[in-house]
This record gives sequence, C-alpha cells and structure tokens, in this order.
Amino acid sequence: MVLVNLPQLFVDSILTGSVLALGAIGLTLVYRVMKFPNFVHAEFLTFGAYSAYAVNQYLGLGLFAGSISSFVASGMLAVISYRSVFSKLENVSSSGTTTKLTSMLIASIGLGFIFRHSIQEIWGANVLYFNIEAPAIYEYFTARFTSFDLIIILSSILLVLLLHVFLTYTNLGKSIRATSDNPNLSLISGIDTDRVIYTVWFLSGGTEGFAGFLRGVDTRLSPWLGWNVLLIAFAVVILGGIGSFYGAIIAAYIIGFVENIGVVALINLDLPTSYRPAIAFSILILMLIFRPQGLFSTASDRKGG
Amino acid sequence: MINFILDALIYAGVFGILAISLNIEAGFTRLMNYGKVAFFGVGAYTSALLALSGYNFLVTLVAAIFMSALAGFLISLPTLRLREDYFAIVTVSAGEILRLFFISEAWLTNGTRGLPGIPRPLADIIPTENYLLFYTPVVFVFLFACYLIATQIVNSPFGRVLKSIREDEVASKSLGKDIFKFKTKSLIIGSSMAGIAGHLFSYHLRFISPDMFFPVLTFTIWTMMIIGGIANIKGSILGALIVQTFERGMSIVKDYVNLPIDPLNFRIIVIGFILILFMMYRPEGIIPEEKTKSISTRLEENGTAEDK
Amino acid sequence: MEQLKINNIRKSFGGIVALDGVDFSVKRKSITGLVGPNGSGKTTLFNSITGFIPVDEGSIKFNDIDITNLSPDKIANHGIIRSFQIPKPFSKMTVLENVLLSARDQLGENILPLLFRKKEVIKQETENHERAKEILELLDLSHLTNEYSAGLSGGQKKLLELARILMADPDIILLDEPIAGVNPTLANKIFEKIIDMRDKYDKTFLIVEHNIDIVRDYCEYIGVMNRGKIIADGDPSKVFEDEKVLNIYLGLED
Repeated sequence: MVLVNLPQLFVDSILTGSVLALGAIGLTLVYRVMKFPNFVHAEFLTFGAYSAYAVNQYLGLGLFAGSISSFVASGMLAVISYRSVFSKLENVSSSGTTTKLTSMLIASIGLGFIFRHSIQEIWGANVLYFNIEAPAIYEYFTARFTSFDLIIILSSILLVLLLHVFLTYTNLGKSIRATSDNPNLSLISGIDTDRVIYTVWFLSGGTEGFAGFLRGVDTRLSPWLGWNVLLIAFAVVILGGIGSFYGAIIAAYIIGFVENIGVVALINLDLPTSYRPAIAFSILILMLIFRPQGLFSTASDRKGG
Repeated sequence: MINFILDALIYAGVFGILAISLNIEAGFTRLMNYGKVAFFGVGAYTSALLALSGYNFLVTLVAAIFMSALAGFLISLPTLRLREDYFAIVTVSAGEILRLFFISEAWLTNGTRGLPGIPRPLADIIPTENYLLFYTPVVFVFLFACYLIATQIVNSPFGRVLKSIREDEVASKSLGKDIFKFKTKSLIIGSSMAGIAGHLFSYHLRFISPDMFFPVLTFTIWTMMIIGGIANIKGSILGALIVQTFERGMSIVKDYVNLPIDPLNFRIIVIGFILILFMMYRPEGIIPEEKTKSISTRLEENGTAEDK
Repeated sequence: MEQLKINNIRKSFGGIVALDGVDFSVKRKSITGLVGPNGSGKTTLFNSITGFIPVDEGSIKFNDIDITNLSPDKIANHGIIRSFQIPKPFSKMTVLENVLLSARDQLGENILPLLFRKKEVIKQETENHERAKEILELLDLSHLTNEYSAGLSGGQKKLLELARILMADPDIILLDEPIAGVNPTLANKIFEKIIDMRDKYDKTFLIVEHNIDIVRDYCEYIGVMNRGKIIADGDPSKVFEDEKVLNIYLGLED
C-alpha cells in the first residue's frame, strides 16, 4: 500500500501531542475565563523558551533549571499582561464601535507585537539552539527517537498530572473549575475571583512557557516560535471544547496523530510537506463550521455558540 | 531622496486602499476580518502571474479584482454565520492556509523564491529614473477611486443596512434585511479592493514572495484603520499616512542617530503600544465616525434651507 | 377573515414544554390581544410566529401561506413586522435613518442599481423620505428627525419602534408589550396611535400585553394563554368573566 513506518508515526504523534497539550491547556482556560481568543499566548510560549535559553547560556545551568525558569518566567509575564492590560479592558464598557472581545483581541495582538519584538531585540532574529550535549538515540522496533523526546513526553505527562491534581484536589483548583463553569454563581458563592483569575493566568502562562521550552528543545528557538504553534493550539482548543482541560489534552493527541498521518499522506501523494500546518488549520475551520462547541462540550457551550 | 518619498507615498496609497477596504467590512459591518492579507496576496499573485505571462496592466487589474472577490465569496460562505471570535480565528487561519499555498505550489508561484521581474506598465516610454513620478499619481488615482466608491456605498441605502447590521442584527432581521447576503456583499467589496491594492503593490515592487503576506500585515492594516478612525473613510487614509510616515521616519532616524534599539523592532513595539492605548482610551480612533451624507441628508438640509 | 392562523404549535426546550398545542387566529384589521401570566408561553409563541424560534410541530399560516419556521427576514418580507419589548433603535443612526431603513424593497440596497440605475434610486429614496416624514409627524417625532436615536428617551424609543414598523408597510403588526414600563399617559397615547394606524392605514394588530385594563379598552378580540395553551379566547368582556381565566389571575389554579 503506502510507505509508512508505524512505530515511528506513533512516537512522532505522541511527541507532537505532548507539546500541543501543554500549549493548549493554558490557552483554553484563559479563553473560557476571559471569553476571547488571546493571541499573546504565542509570546508566553516564546518567552518561556528564551528564559530557559538565558538560564542555560548565562548561568550555565542545565535543562532542569531551564524548565523551571520557563514556567515561572512565562507565568509572571502572563500575570503582568493581565494586570496591566486585560484587567483594565474588562472594565471599559463596550463603546459603540468596538466590542469588548474585539478590544481585548486587538490588545492581545498589540501586546504580542511588544513582547515578540522585545525578544527579537534582545536575542536577535536568528535561530538559536540550546547549549546542551547531544542526546542519546534509541531505536525500538523501527522507531527512532532521542532521550530528549522521552524527556519531552514524560515531562509533559508529569505537568499535566500535576495540574490535574491541583485542579481536582486543592481548594483553589476547585474554585478555578467552578469559576470556569459558572462565573456569576461563583462570584456570589464567595469565591475570591481575583485570586482565581490571577492563578489561572499564572498557570496558563507557566504551562505555555514550559511548552515553549520543550518545543525549543525539540526544534529550535526563534522569536516566532510561539506564533508558529499558536494557530495549531487554537485548533486543539476548539476541537477539545473551549475551557475543557481534559478536552484539550485529548484533542492535542488527536491532532498530533492526524498531523503526522497527514504528513505521511502528503509524502505518499507527492504533495509538498510544507502544507503540514494546513492540516490542523483545516480541522480548525471544519470544527468551527460544523461543531464549534468541540468534542467535549457542556450544555452552556452549545448555547453560547 | 525624492524616490524615497515617492516610494513612501505609494505604500501609503496602497495601504490606504487596504485600510478603506477593511473599514467597510469591520468599521461599517462589524465583520472582524483578520485575514485581510490573504485577499491582498491573491490580488498581488494574480497580477504578477498574469503580468509575467504578458498580459497588460488593465487586464491583470480586472483579473486581480475578480480573483480576490472570488476568494472573498468562497471564504464568506462557510464562515459568515460564525460568531465574532470564531470568525476572527478562522480568517487568520484562512490567511495562513493561503500563504502556505503560495509557498507550496511552486509550479505556479515559484514557492519561497518568489516571482521576480514583473514588468512595469509603460516602462519603455518612461525613463527609469522618473518612473516613480509617474507611478505615484497612478496609485493615487486608484486611491481616490476607492475613496469615492467607498463613500458612495457607505452613504447609500446599502450602507445604511450595513450599519444596521453592525448596530443590531436582530432588529435588522426583523425589518426584513437578509443579513447573510449583506455581509457577503460587504466582504466581497472589501476583498475586491484588497485585490486592487495587491495589484498595485506587485507592479511597484516588481517582485513578490510568500513572506510578504504574513498575518502581521493584516494587523498593521487594522492599526491604520483604528488610528484613523473606525467607520471613517477619510480616517483610513489618514491612518495609512500616519503609520507609513512613522515607519519611514524610523528608518531615516536609523541612518542618522545611533539608537540603542533596532528601529525595525522599535517600530513594531510602538505600534503594539499604540494598539493597546487606543483600545483602552480611544477605541473609535482619531476621527470619529462620519455623519452620513446620504440622499436623505441632502434632502433634509435643503428642506431646512427652504423653511428659512 | 382570518389573516394569521396558528395550528397546534408545539415547542419544547430540552425537557420543558413551552408551547403545548396552541391554536389561535387573528382576524384581518382587528386589534387582537394575547394575554397570560408569566411563563404561559406568550413570548415563545410571539417569537415562533416571527421566526426567531423554530417550532417542533404545527403550522403557522399567513394569508393562507405557510410561514412555519421561516427565517425572521423572510417572515418580515411577507408583511409581518414586530416590535421589541425593549426597543432596539439603531443607536448610531438618526431617527430619520432608522425609519428610512425600515422601508422594504429598496432599490438602493442592491449594488448594481446603485451604479447603473442611480436616478431610480434617488427617486425612490426621495419618496421614502416624504413617507418617513409623514410617519414621524403622525407619531409626534418630527422634532427629533435628525437626532441620533441613542439620545432618545424610553418613551420616544417606543414611538420610534412604531414609526419603523409603519414604514415597513406591514400587513400585520406584532407588538411585544408595547407599553411595558411606560407611564399611563404615554401608554394611552401609544394605543391612540395604534388605533390611528389601524384606521388610517388598515393594519392588523396582534399585541402581547400584561395590562388588563388596556386590553379591555382597546382590543376587540383576545386570547388567554396558560401553560403553553390557549385556554380562552373571544370578546374581552366575556373572556374576563370566564372562570378559568379568573382562576389564573387570582392565583387559584395550581
């Protein structure tokens, strides 16, 4: 039939999915709480990667330190973004010309310009690589992968588990889920929504930062790192259902598989592989047209469409 | 030096047309088109490809308008019923898919290498050193034409319906207006104009490639529209002029002053700040929405004159 | 002659039955009222007729044409124009523009005529302009002709709703609680205008209303709804003596 290396396909898909999952979790939570697609999340990814790079380059520290710094740095960047821009826009009433959604969306694009080009200013527009030893290479059946790939997959799963535990078993986590499901009710029930919102932004930013770091390890660093992932992350968010933590994870792996299968299909059909991102975009567009609430919707999502 | 200014004016003209086209869609109909760059690209590539095949300036113009209008129509079919944020995400993605198309279909578009050598109209008659002196007015004629068309549309009964859709779709529907049809037409008009801009652009640069059509361009056009004024056609031209002046100003400054910051980055960072500040403090833009100058307005004005 | 015929309309939202087999009709040139307690389904029925809520079963016929589940704009173009309980003026347009918009079959709303039949467009617009001014005169809004509708008072916005409806030249006018939240003087004024419109322009009215006195004074025929059904209909004075109706309003029914 067709040229395909199934075990390799499997590994590649899990790898793609792992990074996408982290990229989408933060995006979907903030989208649900703030009710707009936040384009500056691209820069949370990028900044995470570059923070880890800085730690690696200037402090000579290894990947572990890099991973922590990516999470913290982007988490803080996210909180600063909310504090200085988005919280202010929440209170600006919808003027006749622009809706609140539009003004926040455009502000997020403006903020993205500022962050992206500041990063470019500091580190240059050229591609950078982490200064680390070459990874060990493994071969299992016909699949080839590196120790980095393993680390990426495992650390993604670990972070997802940590977040799951946080959201399910801690009070703050439960408050976050409650606010996400029903903001007005939770306000009345005495949940400190400010604390919830700041935590959501911090965790989202942090998760994105970590995702960016992983992506940088897997590929390379550039000021456009986040942007290149962002639209695909939106595809994951929409597929999984806006605001759904578990939906985002499952959708990420689905798209991971579909993308990699798609690449195999492109190769076999003699089509250019530069179309790869178009695979996720097409899923995104189809979902928005036929099932905008995503695979795992709740009743309120369906009405909000 | 003079060519530098003329080049800037040409850019201002081309982007002025784009800003006007976006204003019709977003400013008057509330269609949040974040994929504007796609229609610009379709116009540019259509003109370039046909020009390279030997067709003249006017034929390629018609083709560019047709292809961008077609692109606008095709995009509108599945997407216009989506709510605002979904429409935004879809239009950005559609723009990216188109850019990937330009990169990937190298047999047609020459992929990332781009299309060089686009012939200038009347290049054999007009000497090279004076060419921009000729082309700048050409661009401005088109800008003026688009300005006239846009103003006519906006002040017409058709424009009135667009505004009603912007204010309150439900009320507009209840009065018998087919919202979907009007939105589609608005998008097609906007896309056609973007096609004109693309056409003028490719002949000016004489070379186009896919990396001229990143989403950043769409957002730059949004900046121009927002600065100049939402729902104000004159304002769109003003916005384009302001942004272009700023960008050129920055590159001049770079030559004379040793800035600590690379002006290319500084430019975009400033635009980022401008967008945020406008959204916070003046979302309607510098010049507020124009008062309608429709037939009825004129009748009213004449009526009051008669009363006196 | 029955202009609007509603037959066995059923509508549920999830598990909740909003319309449980509604049969009702509206006679031509009548002023018909639709009353009932909150939650009786009046609003749902109203929105079903005007195309904003699709029904699960049943039919709605207008002048013997089936208009069930058509989109709102198509229904409007059949000559059925509605108002909104909370008025929806187009804020960034003047009062005059609001009214001009409402005219149907405007040539100038299409692109090609704008380019190629300019004279006809101008002629039609001028005619519409005259008609608009007449209507604003009728509703005492002339002094506000060039004001942006955002700046109108609540009562003036309600009158603007009526002006828009008239301009749309409907066969039947559906009013959703036209005097809700309005002071008694203005309320009477609005209903006087309604009578004017009926007499001068031959319009049919279907009015959803809470205020029993107004309904008794101005409606020739009413239907009473409860729990998604019409439980009584006919002449207001007779209907309001009906035991079933009294029970609902006195809260005796369970």
